[in-house]
Amino acid sequence: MRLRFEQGVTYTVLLLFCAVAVAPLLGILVVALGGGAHFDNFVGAWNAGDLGTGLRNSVVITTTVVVASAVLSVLSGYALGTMRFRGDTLIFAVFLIGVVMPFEAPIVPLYYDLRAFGLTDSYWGVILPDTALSVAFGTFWMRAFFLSTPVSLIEAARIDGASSRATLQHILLPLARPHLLTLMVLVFMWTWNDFLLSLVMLSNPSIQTLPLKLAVFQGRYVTDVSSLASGAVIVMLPVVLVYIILQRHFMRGALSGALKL
Amino acid sequence: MATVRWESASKWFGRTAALRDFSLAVEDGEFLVLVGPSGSGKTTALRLLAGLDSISAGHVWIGDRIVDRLAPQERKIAMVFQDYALYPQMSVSQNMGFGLRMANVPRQDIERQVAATAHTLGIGELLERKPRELSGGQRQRVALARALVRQPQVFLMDEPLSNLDAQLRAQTRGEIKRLQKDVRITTVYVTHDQVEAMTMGDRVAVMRDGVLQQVGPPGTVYDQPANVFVASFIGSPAMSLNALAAERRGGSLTLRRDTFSLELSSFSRDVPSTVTLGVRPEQARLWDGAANLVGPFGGTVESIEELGRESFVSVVTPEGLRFVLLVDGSFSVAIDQRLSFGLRSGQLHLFDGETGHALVRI
Ligand SMILES: Nc1ncnc2c1ncn2[C@@H]1O[C@H](COP(=O)(O)OP(=O)(O)OP(=O)(O)O)[C@@H](O)[C@H]1O
Ligand SMILES: [Mg+2]
Repeated sequence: MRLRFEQGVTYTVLLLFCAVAVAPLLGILVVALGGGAHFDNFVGAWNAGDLGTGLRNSVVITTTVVVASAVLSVLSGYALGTMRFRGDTLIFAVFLIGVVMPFEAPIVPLYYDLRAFGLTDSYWGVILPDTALSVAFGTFWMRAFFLSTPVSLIEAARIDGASSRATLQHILLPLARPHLLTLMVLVFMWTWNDFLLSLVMLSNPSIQTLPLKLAVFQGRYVTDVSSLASGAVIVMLPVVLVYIILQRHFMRGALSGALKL
Repeated sequence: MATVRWESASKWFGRTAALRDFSLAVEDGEFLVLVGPSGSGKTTALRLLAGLDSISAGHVWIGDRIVDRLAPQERKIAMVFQDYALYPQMSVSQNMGFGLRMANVPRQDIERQVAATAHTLGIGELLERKPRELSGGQRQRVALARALVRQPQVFLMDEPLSNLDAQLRAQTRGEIKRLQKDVRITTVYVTHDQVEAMTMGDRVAVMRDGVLQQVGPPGTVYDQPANVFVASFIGSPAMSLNALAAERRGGSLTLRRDTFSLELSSFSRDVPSTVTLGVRPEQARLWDGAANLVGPFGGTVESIEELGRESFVSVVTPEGLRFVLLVDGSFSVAIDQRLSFGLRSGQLHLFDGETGHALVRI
């Protein structure tokens, strides 16, 4: 009886939160479809906003950032989580600064620095800062995982004759997979959804990312709410797809800190 | 196969000395047990040998080489960890074959050796399972197999049985011992369980606070403990230890506390003025007037440990001396009951009251 009641309360609260989270998305979807279930709005938005170019640019930038930050985070997290060396705490502290510092703070000086190197208005202008930012968090994230693996596992591998690279490759990386996938999904979302950095770095329309292209609807076509909504759906779609495909791993990774293997 | 030797080995962690001037040689094919209470440096000694910790001073030898600076994999050792440390994502056969794979042994050879070792240890049916699909005892066996398959020169084991239940532990104890005798690989085995030490070791090394206290065959360590610590650590229930004043008069020695006195005639050695008298339970018996008993002494029963075939009865004398008596299981006794008991002459231990060093058997 009591249990029933508690369950009821739980579900009510959860449904409420769910509704709050989903309502804006549903709203966008409804506007995008423009009342009818036809896809002309999407085609219109695609052509008017030059979203094809935006998609290509977003894919190139996001893929590079995700792959680069995954590789670098695994390596630095492995070093900081399993090895002792001179200055390791200092180096980790530097990474931590990258995690806690608000990204908006250095963006203007960053712009001038990158311009001096001639990197603005190129993919690198976004890829490099985004990778750096993701590696700061990624190192923190992967280090926590490597710290949680039993030391005896690494020592057993050493006695078995595995080099530190082989230990990582054969023993630890397979264990880290859910954790690493979670990191990659997070980085994917951050990079894909990034607006500010791209806005500052990319002024040439031919290399602008999807979210920037969306902004176009707000400027020249202020009234075109349904195109904006359709564009937004197109921008959101990959994130939703990636999340759905990987959600099983994602949950496991997010939980693996709390639960022992 | 090889000999192993610690030569004045020391290990400091910051300012704590985990191991101090530790010297010990293990013979080829010998089964050596390192035993001692928690924090006594057993694991440290083992890890120095394995190369998992760097040595602070002294040397470690394997065979006729100093291996201080060699990486673990170059030392031709295998280790069984307390938590087994099986690779979770690999099957049993992959676990066993990993070391060989790292050594670039051809695939067919790996398979053959893994199959042979698995057969020896009776885990042939488990080869395709993952560690999480195994029981605790099976995991332990796989860990053993993984160490064995590489045909190491030295086998290291750190409390490999401590995660098993009592029955399985007793059984596995015998199996490890038999296996070691078959393959004749030099083995260093760490435990804090003195029963394990006594039943398994060719020799037993007793440690305390990073210092080696005594090393010898189990019987010797039991019968001739080098000091009070070894005497109290080895044997269960522990040896009864009581501090007494010693007086030599003419050719006899009298041990005394208040009205308790134990006199030994024809005793010619010098002893310090305070000594510790050590008596094993089997050397303290109910008074029956037998010629080899000294006594009788009176005491009241403090506690009783009944094991069926026999019982251990702890008595305290009016002077506050405590002895544990071994009595027949059929003997019925109650707490607070008064008893007369005697001590087996010739089988009692005397230790220096100050230093704790063994003096003489009386
Ligand atoms: N990595 C370390 N850092 C600091 N101190 C350590 C470290 N490893 C061991 N010690 C200390 O060294 C001493 C010996 O430890 P060791 O692990 O060798 O004991 P042990 O005999 O194996 O004990 P146990 O039976 O509890 O396993 C202890 O005082 C311990 O606190
Ligand atoms: Mg230990």
